[in-house]
Amino acid sequence: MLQYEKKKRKVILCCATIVVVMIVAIILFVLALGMSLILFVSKRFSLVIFLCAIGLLSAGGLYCYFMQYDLVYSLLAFGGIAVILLIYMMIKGGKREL
Amino acid sequence: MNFNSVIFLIYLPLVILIYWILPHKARWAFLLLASYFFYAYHNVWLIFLILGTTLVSFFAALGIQRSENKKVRVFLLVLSLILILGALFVFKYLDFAITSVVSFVNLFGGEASYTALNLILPVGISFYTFQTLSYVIDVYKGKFAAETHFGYYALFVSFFPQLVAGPIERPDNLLPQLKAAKKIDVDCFSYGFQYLISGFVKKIVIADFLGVFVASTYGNIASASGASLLIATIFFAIQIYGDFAGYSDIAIGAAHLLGIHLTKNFDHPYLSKSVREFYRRWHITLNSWLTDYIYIPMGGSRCGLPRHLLNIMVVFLVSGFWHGASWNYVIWGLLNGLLICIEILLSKPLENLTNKTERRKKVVNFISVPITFMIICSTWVFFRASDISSALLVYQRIFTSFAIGNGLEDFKEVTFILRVILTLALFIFIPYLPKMNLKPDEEGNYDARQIFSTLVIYVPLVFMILMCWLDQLSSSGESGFIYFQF
Repeated sequence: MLQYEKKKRKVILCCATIVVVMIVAIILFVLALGMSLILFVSKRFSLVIFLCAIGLLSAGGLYCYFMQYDLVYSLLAFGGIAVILLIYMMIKGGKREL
Repeated sequence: MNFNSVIFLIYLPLVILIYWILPHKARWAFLLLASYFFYAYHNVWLIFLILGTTLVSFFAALGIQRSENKKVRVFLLVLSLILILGALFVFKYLDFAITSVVSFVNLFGGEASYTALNLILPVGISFYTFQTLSYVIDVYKGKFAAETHFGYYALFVSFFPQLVAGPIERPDNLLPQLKAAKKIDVDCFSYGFQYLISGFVKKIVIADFLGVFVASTYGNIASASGASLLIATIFFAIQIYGDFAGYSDIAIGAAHLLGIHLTKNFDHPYLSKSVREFYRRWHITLNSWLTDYIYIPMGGSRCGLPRHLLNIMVVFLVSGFWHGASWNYVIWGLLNGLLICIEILLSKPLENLTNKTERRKKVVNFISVPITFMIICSTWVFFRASDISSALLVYQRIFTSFAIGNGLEDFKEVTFILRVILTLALFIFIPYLPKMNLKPDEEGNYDARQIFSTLVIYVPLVFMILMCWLDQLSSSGESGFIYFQF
């Protein structure tokens, strides 16, 4: 009974993970697309390329997550995006607040 | 209730929603109920303990303020201190004290024995005990008037974001904020989300990942190589920062969402250039409490050198005891006190040596950060090891069996190494997480570019938190916070 409960919990959590991944991935792509469009209109092409790179990284992360079900690859992809952006913020003169 | 539990994910948005819907007059009562529910989620019976501490300190402070007889005022102060500290002693230190006495007697040939009571350690007892103590002492000193509204005072003691592991708030900061009428402010939400995301990254992505390696290495000290123990100790330094600073960030973020500003508890401690500076930046609210209520009343630094050094040792002894009823914590505290005393004694000769040329000054400034980090890491060994002999074994193996071997199997996998690099990079760069700027400009227009660019950072971070959190829940369940045991 306990094992059945554990298995049930694991299945629910896996389903929840997939739903969350889907939702967040959609949000990320919409954001990247929206940002690219805004920058394209304002003729800031270098940033468009930068965002495309982020889009590619996130696509790679999602591919690894769904095709291999390996957390590490997706974490590396999304972590990579986050770290690149945080370094970008630091170079732009961001302050250490937290 | 843990901040990284599923129930908190439902609890927090609900509390924030209802809080802002309710009129100002009803908010304190709702927040008090919500805070008691938060606390009772661990253990319902503990409510009576926090209620008792609240009642004692509330009426003692009122009595102190209303009485004009000095003897009565002193009596009420001492009585309340005995009752509040007595509860802390019984629940946290009784077993430890009796066991230590029994061991001491047996050391000299006695045959005493003691069966430990194994009382439940009420979560957060050390934190709210210090908070209530500072209130009674400050009212006695006449720093501010005693609170006459029991509801607001009870909320001050039990305010849920900081109830279990701080920051240890002072009444003059928190009480006026709890009473003030507030309107929804975009800035509160911007800061709130910034702190929440930063806190969850520190806890779930950084601390919990490193914690697995630390636990496995410190679980097998005898067979682990010196190299793996050294890496585990450095990882523990980052883990405990991620765990505790993460908790503080989540607490500050959650309070911001309710329009309340809590005191900052960490200020990039690992960038300190000395141990003294480290303790000005680490667990700021506890160290400022110890400074105000122990160090300064004892004379602080305005006395002779021997007395100054003694004051420092006493403060760190109390800090060690505060952290836990175990001799490791006491030694950890004393070791830190000793390091600060050595720093004070060497400060003048070192200054003369380093300030000779500008270049030398720069070099010293540059190397003092990693040196301080390594010194602090060496003290964490006593904090992490289960007992003193294990801690000594860790030092022994680091210095005598350093050869790369047992305990480093994980590092053979490229993905593990990459994840370690990612975790360390996040640890270094997460302080640069920008505020989610949702405020319109003077003309009422929103800067879409700014909002988008900020969100592009936040989304991958949220994504990482969720992936790690769900992975953790499905494998080992939610992880606790280290400071919950204090």
